[in-house]
Amino acid sequence: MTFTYSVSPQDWLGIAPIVVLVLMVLLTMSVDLLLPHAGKRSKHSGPANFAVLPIVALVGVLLALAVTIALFFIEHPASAFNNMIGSDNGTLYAYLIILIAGGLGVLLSPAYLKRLNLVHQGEYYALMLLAMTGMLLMAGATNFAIVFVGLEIFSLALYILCSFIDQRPTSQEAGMKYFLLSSFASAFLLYGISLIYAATGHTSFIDIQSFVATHSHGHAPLLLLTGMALLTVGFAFKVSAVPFQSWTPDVYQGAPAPVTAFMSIGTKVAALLAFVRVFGFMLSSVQNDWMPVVWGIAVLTIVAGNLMALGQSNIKRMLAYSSIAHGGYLLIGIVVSGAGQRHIGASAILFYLSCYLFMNIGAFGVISLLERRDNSGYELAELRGLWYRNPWLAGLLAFFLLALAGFPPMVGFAGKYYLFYAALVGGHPELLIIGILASVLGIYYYLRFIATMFMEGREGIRGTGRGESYGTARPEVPVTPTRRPIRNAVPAASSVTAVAERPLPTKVTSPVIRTSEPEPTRELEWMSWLALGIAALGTLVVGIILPFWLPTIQQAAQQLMR
Amino acid sequence: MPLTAYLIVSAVIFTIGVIGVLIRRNPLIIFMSIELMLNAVNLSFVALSHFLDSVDGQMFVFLVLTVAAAEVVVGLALIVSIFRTRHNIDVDEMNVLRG
Repeated sequence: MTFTYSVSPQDWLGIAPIVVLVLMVLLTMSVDLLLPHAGKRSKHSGPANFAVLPIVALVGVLLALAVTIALFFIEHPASAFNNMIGSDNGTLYAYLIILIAGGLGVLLSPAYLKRLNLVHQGEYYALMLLAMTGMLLMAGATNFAIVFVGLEIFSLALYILCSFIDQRPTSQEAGMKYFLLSSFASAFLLYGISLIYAATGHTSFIDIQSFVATHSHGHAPLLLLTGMALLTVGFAFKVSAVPFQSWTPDVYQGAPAPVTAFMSIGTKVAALLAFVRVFGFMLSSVQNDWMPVVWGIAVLTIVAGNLMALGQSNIKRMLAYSSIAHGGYLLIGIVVSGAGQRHIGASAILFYLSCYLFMNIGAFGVISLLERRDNSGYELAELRGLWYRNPWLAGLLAFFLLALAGFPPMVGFAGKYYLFYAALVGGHPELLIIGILASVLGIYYYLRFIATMFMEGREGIRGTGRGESYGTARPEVPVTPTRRPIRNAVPAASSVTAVAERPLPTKVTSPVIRTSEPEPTRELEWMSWLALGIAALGTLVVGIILPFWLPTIQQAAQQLMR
Repeated sequence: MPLTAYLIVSAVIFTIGVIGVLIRRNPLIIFMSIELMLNAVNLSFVALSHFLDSVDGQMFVFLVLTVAAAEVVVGLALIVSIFRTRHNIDVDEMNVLRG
């Protein structure tokens, strides 16, 4: 039982983006210690400056992005550390998606933290970067050990981030639910790994693949079959597929909106990449055993996700159910990856994720500007007539919702088109039909929110100036340019209106929050608007440009499923 | 002892853990049950590592132990923070978010 492996510089090159992120986590925490702190009581004091830490974190994300892009052009082996983690182009592409999602999540945060007066920013940004690190590890993993470690790194960071607003009971509840259910699912995943280890004697994907291919004769033995079932449970939980979706709406609703925006993409990328590697590549020789199950989960997720979204009157919850439905569409890619068109399935997943990234972060980003401390501000009733109070926000939200519904010029259409095309090529026309019918159903609930924002609530605003919701109209006294010169630099910021201007006196639900909410501030909001602008640009442009790169993505996916 | 014996013990402990998670309402007990599940997996990994004569299983045990310790830290901190605000940690009472 001896084992030797000498690490070469090439190995470190393969995980360079992860190394950069980890170093930036340490730097973020150090900077947090060095910054001057505000407030008298240590419990409530945080760095006086809300802008330094996000910029440090953002620099970290940008550095990691730069390293990832550089790796595309630098000659390096396709996997590092004795097949522990992949560094092929498909993996790097997934890194790009996660890092862009993380960067936008970080950009959305400062205004939100400032407005809600959450002072512990050092922890916040360090945990954001750590969550990204875990996601990169899981997305790149080619060994079950790394799958597990990456999964736990990002899960642990996200438990804390979800319950970050310590005075909001819903946030704590979200963190607790996520923690209990997710560790439960992790244990199942781990037991599945141990059974697969028992059946094959390996934990590396490539070793298991060759073992299964030579020993199984098309059907998995019982031990391997049980392990596959437990793995399916674990992965289905992580991508919030339907029998295991119950945590998703609660966690997405309770968590801070920028965290929701980031995790709704990041966890999906990480879990789906591991899912497609394990099932599409590692277990490809016993595909007849797992394909019906994954097919069933995909159909159930698409149908049930869309059906449950229909009745939601809370947009954050509706988006959570819609993300379940989108996860179902993505599972089509996994079904196809087992149907002999492995690289088409995997490339459809990569392509859809890069489309989904922009529209979903955009939608949650708009919510992060609407959300109030007691987790209100985005109910259907409160969105009434948003167009008349805040045309920019309403217009952007409508734009992102239309993209999510899959209207042609935006990315949602391109992503769905290629995914359904993959279903057709992979020999699953029934998935194409179910997917299209469910998308038609989906249009209803997206349009319902758009109609509410644009067509209702006009009278309430025009009346006494006392709207039925927060901020009545545009603030009559605009922000003085002398105090915040930076606002003039961003054209969109000048039209920011009274978002979360005034807490509703009747809407106070928690006894903790009743203690005089400080006047909401709109400082640093230009960062959120920058993130929304990038997301909107991505939503518009990526759907038009990225299809031309499809051959490249397919090539990358082929390396992923090598 | 044959390998099967170890695997059966591990499966039994894992099942006890699953049942504990499903029927108990106190997050601390649920959490202990999850730890039980993780340790059942550890047992099977150690046994398999010995019988298969490979180091992978033992490496996994160390990873799982570390992760379990980290989960204890985060989980207990969450429970304490919830107890401070609502003085009750029963999971059935955590029902603000639903629908």
